Amino acid sequence: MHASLQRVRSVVRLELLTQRREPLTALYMLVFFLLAAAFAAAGPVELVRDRGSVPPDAAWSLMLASTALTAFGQVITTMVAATVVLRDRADRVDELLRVTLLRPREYLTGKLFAALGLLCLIYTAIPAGLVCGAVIGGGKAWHAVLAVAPPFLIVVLPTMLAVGAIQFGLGALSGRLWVIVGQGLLLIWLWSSAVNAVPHAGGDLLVLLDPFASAPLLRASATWTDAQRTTLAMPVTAALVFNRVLWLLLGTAVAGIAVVRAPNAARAGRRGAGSADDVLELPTSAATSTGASPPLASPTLTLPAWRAVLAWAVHVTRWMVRDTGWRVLAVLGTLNVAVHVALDVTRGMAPAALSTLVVSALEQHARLFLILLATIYAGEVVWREREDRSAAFLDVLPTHDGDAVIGRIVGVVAAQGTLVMMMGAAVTATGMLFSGSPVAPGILVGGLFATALVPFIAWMLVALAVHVVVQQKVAAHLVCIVGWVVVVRIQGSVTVGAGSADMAWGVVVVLPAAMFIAWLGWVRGERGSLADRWREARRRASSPFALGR
Amino acid sequence: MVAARGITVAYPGGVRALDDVSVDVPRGAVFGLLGPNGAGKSTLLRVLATLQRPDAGSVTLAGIDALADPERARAHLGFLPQEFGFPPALTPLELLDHFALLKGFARASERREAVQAMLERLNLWGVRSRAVKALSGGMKQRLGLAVALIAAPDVLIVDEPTVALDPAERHRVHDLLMELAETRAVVLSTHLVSDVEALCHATMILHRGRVVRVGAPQALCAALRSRVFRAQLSRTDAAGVRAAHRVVREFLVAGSIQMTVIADVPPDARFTAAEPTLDDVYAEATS
Repeated sequence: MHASLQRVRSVVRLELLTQRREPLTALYMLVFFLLAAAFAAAGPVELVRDRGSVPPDAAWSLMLASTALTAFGQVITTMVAATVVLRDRADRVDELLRVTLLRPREYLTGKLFAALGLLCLIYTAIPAGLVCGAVIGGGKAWHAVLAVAPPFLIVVLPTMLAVGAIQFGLGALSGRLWVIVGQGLLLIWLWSSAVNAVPHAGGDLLVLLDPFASAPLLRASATWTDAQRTTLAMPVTAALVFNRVLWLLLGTAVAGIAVVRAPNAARAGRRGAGSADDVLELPTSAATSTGASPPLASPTLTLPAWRAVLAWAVHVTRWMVRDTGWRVLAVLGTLNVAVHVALDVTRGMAPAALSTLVVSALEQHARLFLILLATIYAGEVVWREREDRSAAFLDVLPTHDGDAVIGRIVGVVAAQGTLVMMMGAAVTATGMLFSGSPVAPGILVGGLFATALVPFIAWMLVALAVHVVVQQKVAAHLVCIVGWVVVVRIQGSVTVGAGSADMAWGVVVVLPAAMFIAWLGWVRGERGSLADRWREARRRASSPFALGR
Repeated sequence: MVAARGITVAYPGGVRALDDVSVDVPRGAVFGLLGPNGAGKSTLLRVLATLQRPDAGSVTLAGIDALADPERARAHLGFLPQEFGFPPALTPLELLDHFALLKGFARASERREAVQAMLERLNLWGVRSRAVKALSGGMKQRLGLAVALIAAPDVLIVDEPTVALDPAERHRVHDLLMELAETRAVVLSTHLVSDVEALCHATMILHRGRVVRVGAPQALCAALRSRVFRAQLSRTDAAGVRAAHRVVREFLVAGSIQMTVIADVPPDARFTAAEPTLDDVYAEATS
């Protein structure tokens, strides 16, 4: 028993040491701290909607800011859980560990505790930031601490433990990143649905489904006046307690099953891989022996630029639409908007307004998926080839830099455009099915273009440019997410690029600028120093017309 | 066909991965790069393959200045990196078709024939429609070779091409490389001295980024003739020899130590003159 505990402790220690040396841990904390502090200090960061005249350091404001940051933090929880549970397999360290005295259950237990410990550390930045911001804003420190402690202990900490355990467990059981990401989206969908149900009758049960506990708090304080919001403490209702207990039990169950069952799954996987190789290995022939084969064929034509661009585009589209993660996100996103349209129609939307309703559903409910997909796959275009180690083959191809970059962009736009069309088709079909009315094609196509396609592509190209410039995958993702929050706050609404003015800006400025930056900064071969990259960018900029050759 | 002069690559902190390295490989030759881990072999290959710009020096591939015009030079280049992979959901047929197109096979019929011929040649035709993730390690290695060879490059640069292959597969790759070298220049990096002995017309031994030996394997061996002495010694005796002479190789054989010493005269009567091998040259150059 003692030896077993020692091994678990060793796993926890090594994981925490690894994470401590990761700059991302500090970056995650910094993001939480800055967002929390900026909100509580009454700056331009607005984490609580419809706050009215309630000051940002009131208990009600701090409580809702905690829940908002916890929901936003699911991106970080997902990344931490995925890193802790999948990294050893990706680095091929797991096989080395399997031949030590460490038992699989000890390994997973250690990893689970390490993940939860790390998340605890990261999430403490939320109350720290809120208290700090409240003090900066002129509030009293003790008052802020008393206001921040209940939401941290009852909302933030249990949420983090439950969601972290669920994501860890599913990651350990499946060994797949897309399962973790898909489950993260499912939780966000549950949260969004529960929050939407708050004003409706029968919402008492639905609020239990909110993994982040925003819905029970919103329901309990829905009728509060501004004066009450300013003075009352966090309402600890039965619904809130049940919600917390439910999700903690769920998290414990999933993590427990993973620790017990995952080692068996891992063993089965190893056996499967061995047998597949045996079956697939072909009998060898003498075809490669000296003198037995014809000379290699040489190409006879020079490849025109448009053909090279098309080839790159087809390659990128092909791997993207076959990527399981993309497929899962696409299906979840499509289902999500379709379900919302069905609910909206059954709630009595007039058939005459169906086209508007469909466009509005796309704008409201597809946004989160589209932003996530745009951010994730813009990054994948930059990183996937390096991660699957095909970059060296592709980088030595005799195609122009401009063709390769434009081709990749066309490819990713085509794949993502397909997704938007899928969503458009799904909401149209659902709307027509549930209302029995036709949709006006002009409004639908215009709305699809203006509210989904253009902002989506503009955001994706911006994210692509960020990845090309930052040249660090996770850091670039964080820059994109923080950038999105800032844009939303500056706009004063949660809709990115919804208006025609935004669309015009997207088409005229953002798209060409982002493409130009991506082309200028695209790394081919070794990344080199900043000076090298600057030199290369200048070389490309000095012959911009070579872009289209 | 491949001419590199004065290649120098320095990393921050002043460490020189390559220090004034020059390489000449004519058409019809296989040129082997040998060296311990960290000697700079892979860096040199990446410089030759236009994937890394050196801090100093020049690279010419098929008569084209590869630093000034890498895109044109790449049209003559086939490269197999040491570690590589492919998108797991794609098939060998799709991948090779993509690479063939971007190598210049614009006409579909011509490309189809070239891809089929290459897949058949590397025993991959039977698995052409399987996802890469379902291929064995050897198959993936052959697919990498197929990608490097498609479009019949004038210059073939291969980094540890036989590393994941079984002995039979290794021999077939050797045969293929020898056959290809008849009409093109092949630069091969390996840890395996036996690969160089079997394949290469000339070899270069790199150590800590510098060229320590270069020439035909036979000539390098000949330079050590009459200076290589071997003996089988007990552990106690070996310690005494080690302290007094330049021991370049030693390993255990049936409980005693087989020791190789480089010297002008035999260290003592137990040592006999031996015919130098490329292993001796390598050990002498990097010890």
